[in-house]
Amino acid sequence: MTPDQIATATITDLLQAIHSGDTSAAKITMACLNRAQDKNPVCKAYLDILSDAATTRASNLDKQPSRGLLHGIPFGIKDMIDVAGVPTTAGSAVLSDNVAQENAHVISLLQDAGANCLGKLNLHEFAYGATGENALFGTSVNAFDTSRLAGGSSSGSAAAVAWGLLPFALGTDTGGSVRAPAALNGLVGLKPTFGRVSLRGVIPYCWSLDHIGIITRTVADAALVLQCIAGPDPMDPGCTSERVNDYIGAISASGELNGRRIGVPRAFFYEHVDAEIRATTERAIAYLEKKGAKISEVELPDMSHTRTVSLTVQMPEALSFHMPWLEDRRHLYGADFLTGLALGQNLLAEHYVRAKRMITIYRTDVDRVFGDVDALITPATPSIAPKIGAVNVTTDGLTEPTGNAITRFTSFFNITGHPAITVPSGLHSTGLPMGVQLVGRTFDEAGLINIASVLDQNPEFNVPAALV
Amino acid sequence: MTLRKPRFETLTGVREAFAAHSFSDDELSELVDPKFGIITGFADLMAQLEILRSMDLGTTPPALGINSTARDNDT
Repeated sequence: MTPDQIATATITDLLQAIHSGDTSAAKITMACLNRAQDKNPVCKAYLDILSDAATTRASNLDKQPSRGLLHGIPFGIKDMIDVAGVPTTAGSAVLSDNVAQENAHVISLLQDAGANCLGKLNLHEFAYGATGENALFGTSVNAFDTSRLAGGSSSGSAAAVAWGLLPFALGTDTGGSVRAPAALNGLVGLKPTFGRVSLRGVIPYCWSLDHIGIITRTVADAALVLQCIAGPDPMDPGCTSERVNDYIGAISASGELNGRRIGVPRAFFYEHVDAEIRATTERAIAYLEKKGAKISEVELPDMSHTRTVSLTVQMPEALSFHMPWLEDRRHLYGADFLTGLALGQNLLAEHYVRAKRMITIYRTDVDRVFGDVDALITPATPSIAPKIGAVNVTTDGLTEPTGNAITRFTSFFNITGHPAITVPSGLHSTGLPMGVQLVGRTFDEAGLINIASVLDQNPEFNVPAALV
Repeated sequence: MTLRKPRFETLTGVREAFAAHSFSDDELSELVDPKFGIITGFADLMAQLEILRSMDLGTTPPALGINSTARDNDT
């Protein structure tokens, strides 16, 4: 494989090439590292490139029999996730000296599967914000238009894959921080069910809403990575012991959906949406119907209080975590995050508990909808990637803060905890990617992957690599 | 009861009487006069929370982890 081929290859392509002797872990790693050195000054995806460790590990992997599903495959991680011996900064000067003592559980699982960590990726400071703008480290930019945001908060994770620096990356998703940037960059973003993947060794933003997420080029690759990281972790009390299903086997071989029921929540999720994004979502619905899905309109709970509920849970939890640093390192925090923490201090305990009770109601209501359908489909984002520095975005008559716009359709499913995946749905007339979001029953990631794979296999919805 | 809008003095009063963290005047000012665009106004949030407080949630408990009881089939 040539370096350009490696830059656009899927994990599946790379595994086949290693297996056939067409390339090696060392060659793939070298190609990815060279491209990172070349592109990172512009795209600002990496905060820390682990060249020496990755090169050594790749060489060792080439000498060993296959260790697992991801043998020889490079990856990167949002700098909220610990790698032993490497600083975890969370994109902030506050944690510049925070060297991890142990690997996060997901890192250990990926290493057990033979994957090779190439570095730590950029983000919005402490994952507080969906624009990915970072005053300290610079802002990751969109691979399709460098004047636009990659989106966030897992900005570097999306940019690294979209710019061809890595075949996959992990991020964290508290309101859409994996799914939305994936969609804005023409990639697949998967957020499993709340508790499906261990968060041990991950800097928390909000324990009640945080999820690990996966960014890849295809749904099949997302299934492969999820197969490696899903499962119980006795040392993470929030991680479930729920059975892990066959996600790889859930990829549709026939391309048929055989009566799978897909709900369309028209209220809220189809309002104030870019006309081309709405149209491509309708085309996706029509295609799924053509492939055998039964489409019906469904009604989700009233969304008017969901952002209030989310914020009321987020900020007191974030404040609680940041207590140790607020007195002696407060000057190192970004001003916007400090204000958010100040908000957390001025909410009543009753507000927090009421918001958590509202989460129970939302979950129950959405579970009830899943009695009638197997999945929901919505646009991934209401608009294409916003310009860097834009304070507000106006879409179809609605003006809102940029971060709110980016996560408008994703954040509700962090509240309910249902698994959700964003899949490319084609290019906008501006040349920027568009995406749709599919949401599944709790712990039915396999069903979700099955439906998403049918869309992903249709070239009409694919987004070509940016190859910047 | 109709709530009064929180003022800057309200927040400095809370800081001085109750709070463990000494947020600056600027940080508290952002809550009542937002400029960053992330916190869209403490007063608006308080008004929204008052609506939530008035809702009858019965015996609904706070959310904990998710279990599989809601799931009725897998692929």
